[in-house]
Amino acid sequence: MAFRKLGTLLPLERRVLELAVRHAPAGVYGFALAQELADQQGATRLVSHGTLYKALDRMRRAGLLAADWEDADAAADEGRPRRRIYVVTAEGNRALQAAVLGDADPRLGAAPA
Amino acid sequence: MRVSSSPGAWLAAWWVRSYTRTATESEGADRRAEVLADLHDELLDARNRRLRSGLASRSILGRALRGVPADLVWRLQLERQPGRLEWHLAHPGSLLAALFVLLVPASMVADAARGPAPGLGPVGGTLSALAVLLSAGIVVVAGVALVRRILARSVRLRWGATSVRRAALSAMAVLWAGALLWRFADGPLESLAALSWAGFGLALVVYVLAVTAGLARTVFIDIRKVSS
Repeated sequence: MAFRKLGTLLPLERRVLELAVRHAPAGVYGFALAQELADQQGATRLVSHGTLYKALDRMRRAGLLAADWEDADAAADEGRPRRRIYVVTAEGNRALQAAVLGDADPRLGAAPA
Repeated sequence: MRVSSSPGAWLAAWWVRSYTRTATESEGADRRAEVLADLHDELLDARNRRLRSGLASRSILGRALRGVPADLVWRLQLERQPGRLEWHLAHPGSLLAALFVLLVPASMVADAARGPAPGLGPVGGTLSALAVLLSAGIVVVAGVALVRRILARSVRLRWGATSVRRAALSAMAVLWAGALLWRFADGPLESLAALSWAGFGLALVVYVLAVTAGLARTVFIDIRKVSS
């Protein structure tokens, strides 16, 4: 289990937010996220169901992502189950920008003299 | 694309149903639907990329297995919501099964530490204490749930394979826990341990029969679907 300071993003959360921003405003669903996360890292294995959906659930509860089920008829037309679509929120955008700014400002990561 | 067509997807679907079945209703249903959609998408993607079905099955099973710790943490976090203890006392089956799953290895390793594997030393002592605590927990949960049902006059017998299987598993948990607790007693109470073991054996037979009946029913339904 990962521990972090309040208000900071875990590496997985940051990568998910980056992908959600890239897919805004349409949003992105679980398996597509798993594939793109693996592609980004050049990994051969997809992220586990437990890790991915627990992170998405946590981010949704924190207000970083909004989740909505797609239209049942549209999914039925394609002969597949409904997907849950995640869209980045304003809060998620702010959190990602703060993380990027934190990377850019070396003082934030510097040890005290 | 059917999830049951791939052993890995079938096991992953079974696992998600198992750990969400008694979760809070909306969260459990959302997680189930989300993972089932993911399984479907991965199988479809493998088919579109003309991958061997065994590869997709192994990938899905690996994703499910690697995610088990996160799934369990997620499930335990849901238990912090208000009203969950009340719910578990009204539907004690899943809590008894979870405690039983922990009790069996704990008591077996503790017994091995006392007998054929004394080298386990302090681990055996700790596990013995854990086994007694888990046993007491099982007996208390089952006792409170039974008393509440009797007081509410809501004791109903159901004879479907699933109901019988769950009841047999609860009985196995209570009887194993009882046997473990009674064996420390002296005199006439000591014989209760032997009775508990006998009852456990009977419950185990009923459990196996109920599982077999459930599987036979599933296979029969599948055959009927295929033939029609």
